[in-house]
Amino acid sequence: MAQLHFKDRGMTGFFDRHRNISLLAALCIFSFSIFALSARQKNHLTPLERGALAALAPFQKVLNWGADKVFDAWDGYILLFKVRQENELLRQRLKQMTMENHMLSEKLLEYGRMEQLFNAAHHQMGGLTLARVIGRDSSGFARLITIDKGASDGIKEKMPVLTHQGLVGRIIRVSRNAAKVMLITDVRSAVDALAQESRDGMVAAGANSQMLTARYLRVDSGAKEGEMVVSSGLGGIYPKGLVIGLLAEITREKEDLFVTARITPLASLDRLEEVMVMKEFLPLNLERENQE
Amino acid sequence: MKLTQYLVLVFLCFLLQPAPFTILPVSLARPDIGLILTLHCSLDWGRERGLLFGAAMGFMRDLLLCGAVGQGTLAWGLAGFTAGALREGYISGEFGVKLILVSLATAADTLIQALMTRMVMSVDVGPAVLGSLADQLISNLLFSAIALPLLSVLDDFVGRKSAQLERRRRMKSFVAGMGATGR
Repeated sequence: MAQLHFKDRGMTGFFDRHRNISLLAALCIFSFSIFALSARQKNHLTPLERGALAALAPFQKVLNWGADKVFDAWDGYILLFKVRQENELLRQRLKQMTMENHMLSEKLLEYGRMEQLFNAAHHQMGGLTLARVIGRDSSGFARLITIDKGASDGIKEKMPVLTHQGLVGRIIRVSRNAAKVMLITDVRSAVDALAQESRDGMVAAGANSQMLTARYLRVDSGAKEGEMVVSSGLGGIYPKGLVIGLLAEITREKEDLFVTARITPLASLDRLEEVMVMKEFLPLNLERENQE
Repeated sequence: MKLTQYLVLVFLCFLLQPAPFTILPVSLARPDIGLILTLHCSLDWGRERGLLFGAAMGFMRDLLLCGAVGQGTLAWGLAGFTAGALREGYISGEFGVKLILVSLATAADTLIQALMTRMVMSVDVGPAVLGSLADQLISNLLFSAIALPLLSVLDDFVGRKSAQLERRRRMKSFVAGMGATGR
């Protein structure tokens, strides 16, 4: 026992004297051993690794969960910052696109109207020229519009102007690239007309208001309110059968020869944007001039 | 710095280590946070505890992250021991010195990994491992540049708080002693 005790003291003394070397040697031996063990069982986990993994797995799960949360939050913050920048950019794009959308909607409406005009033109007769309204003169003295087609496009004075909804007026002045149109609501305008069903004649005269006045409609006529009024073709100013409007506000006085009535134009004369000029229809005086 | 603070830091270390560092360039290697913490700890505690702490951290790193157990244990244990030994006799704990130690420890870690793999497994991974040394070095230095000043601030804060608590404790015991004597 004494010898063993002496040996123990000797060993302890050796480790005490060479503490650093002993620690390093222990570290090396431990490291190499576990490395060799794990390297030998390359495809399998060593019992140490298995135990450690089993013990550390829940801990690692918690760590990974925590790390995921932390970095998700960080990524979220970065993403939020990027989203803010992107939001600014998208807002600008949205403004731009909204403006473009408005322009395109406007074009679409314009094309829609033009399509209706073309359909009406094909339905009625050929020889129509489309024109865009570029000016208005709706003072108390006149109801005029200016169109962007003129003599260079074959437009001549007194040519009828219409839309798909009906008669608009006629050309009164022509320049090279524009023309003035007197609307049927102008006080100087008078169109010989017919009630479509009763076939009673009248004159649709302008009154510088939104409605026309039906003159010379006989008191014994069978015309009713809401009846369509079309051009009669008499006088040779307008072709026959062009829609003017609907009869309204008919007042019959027995002692009078004619009834008092108004005509509501079917064409929206206050909001005209595109019109058609009937180039193939030549008023009588023009025909005469041509014949001469 | 107390052990509890180091345990918290170890926890944070293994929380951060496997997480992707989105703030760093993707091409960079992940920093060895445990190695940096080991060096900091060793400079504070000395060689023996530095060795134990480094070996434990390396072992944990091997188990948790790498899978080749033993490499990190040896490398980080040696790094802890060496840093502690140098601090005891030769170097100061200044920021620049710590960065040099981080560089040397990173290089040593890489070399030891290559050496152990060559010796035990007869696989020459030297060129590949040495090729990644520069990336690892940059990553570790970048992280050290951020983490080491923070650790120093934390050390100072904990030191001040500990001293305050100790003074209060002594004062309380002194007052209690005076009260007992008075009675």
